[in-house]
Amino acid sequence: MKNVIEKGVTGGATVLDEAWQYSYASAEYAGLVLYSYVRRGGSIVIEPLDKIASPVFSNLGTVFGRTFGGVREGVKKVFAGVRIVKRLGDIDKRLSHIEEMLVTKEALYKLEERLAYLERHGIVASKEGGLQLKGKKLSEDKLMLLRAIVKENIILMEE
Amino acid sequence: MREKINIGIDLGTSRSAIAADNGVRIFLASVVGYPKDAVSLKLFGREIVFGEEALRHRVSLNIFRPFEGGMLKISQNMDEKSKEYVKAMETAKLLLNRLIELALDEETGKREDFIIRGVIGAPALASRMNKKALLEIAKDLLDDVMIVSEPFAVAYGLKLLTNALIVDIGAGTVDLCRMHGTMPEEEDQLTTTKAGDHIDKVFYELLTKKYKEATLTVNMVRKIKEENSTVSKHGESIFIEIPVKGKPKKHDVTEELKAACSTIVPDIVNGIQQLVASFDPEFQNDLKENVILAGGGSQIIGLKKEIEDYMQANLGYGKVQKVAEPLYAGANGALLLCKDMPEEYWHQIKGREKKS
Repeated sequence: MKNVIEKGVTGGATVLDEAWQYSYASAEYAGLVLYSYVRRGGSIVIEPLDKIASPVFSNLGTVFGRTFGGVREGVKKVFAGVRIVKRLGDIDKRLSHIEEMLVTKEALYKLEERLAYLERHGIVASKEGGLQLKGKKLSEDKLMLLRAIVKENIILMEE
Repeated sequence: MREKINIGIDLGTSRSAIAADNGVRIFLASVVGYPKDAVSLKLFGREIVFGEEALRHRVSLNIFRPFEGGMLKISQNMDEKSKEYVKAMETAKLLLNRLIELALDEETGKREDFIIRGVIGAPALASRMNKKALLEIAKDLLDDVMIVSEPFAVAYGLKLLTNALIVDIGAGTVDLCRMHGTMPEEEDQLTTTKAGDHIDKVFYELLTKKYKEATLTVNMVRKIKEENSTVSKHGESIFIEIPVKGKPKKHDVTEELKAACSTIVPDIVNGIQQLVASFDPEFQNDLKENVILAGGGSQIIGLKKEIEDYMQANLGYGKVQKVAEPLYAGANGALLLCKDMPEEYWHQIKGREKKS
């Protein structure tokens, strides 16, 4: 009885573990796909624009940055003690954290690599939309053969 | 999250092959060499030399071959602490480790960044002790491992799981296996020891008998065989250069090579007949239709026709095919098995491993 329960519990845990891993992978994959689209889309728009605009706007950007900085500091002074200032501070912190995480080339490379890995081994975006598990569904005959191999190996290990 | 890499391994007497799902496929002569002295150690700059490199420099190395007759060089009555047993296990482990290293060469991460799963092909009728020893070796090098019969791995890779007869001609053994949709059992498999090494031995004896002045080694003979092996009656003459008193001279080896290669045919065709005759009569014709030659020996010119002719004469009909990649057929099949194996089955193995 104890064995039966143990087996049941182990089986259940394995299934849950599997399900969780797939869900985790799906969520991770979805995030990465979205990121990839944004990044690639962004690159397409930004890169040519950057080439045209950077000579003109590089100086302007600095001025604008200073102006924006000044305005923000001004807002902080005017609304000192008000919740919005704290909120702006939090956003600032969060943005700088995200920038630290993402803007380094290494981090971008790692994300791209992870996406490629998931596509190679895990899940892919289906033509119909949404995500689907990569890999084939095995026939019952094949599963039976594989089960027999496992059984044989277990016997061998226990001998 | 550690990345998973699946690998299929064919540990052979003469060559070992590995196929991984990261795209790497490579083979290595099943040889491990240790530098003989300090001079040779300095020459190589390392303590162990593998494969072809070891064979090329065999004069300055102590050479070990961990497999013989398709199996690990250990026997039932061998003491596990004996020198031979320990050496066989150690060299096999080194060789397997080298193969895994080669498979991971393309990867940027460290070995511990990956979960490496492997399926190893063992000769059809390898002893349980031998299979267990292989598992022991592999357990330390792979995260998860299983062992399957080599011809079964070939059949699985070719998706010929029913009504097919696999003939895997290696250096140490010829494995014959009848596939009928279930796991092959003992009566479905046959192993003969007249294989590639046997051809080398006979060829060497015939040549040294005919050309008494010529100086030859089994290694030279093996190379000649690998490049020219034939049992065909209609091929061209084969001339090779063999040194006589230090001077290379051309010698005609056509008849000797044909004779040597032909020595493995009777056992193969008898094995085919035995497996066909003992099969369900309703399906015997299907089996005759699907005789598959794999392994390095399948490349012997004229062997396919020779077997077909024999089957025609003795079984009424026979169709033989050669696999496209004889060297990798076993490793490819083992890899496919490894990839197909459901996650929960690996968990089951892992669970048992811990208990035992």
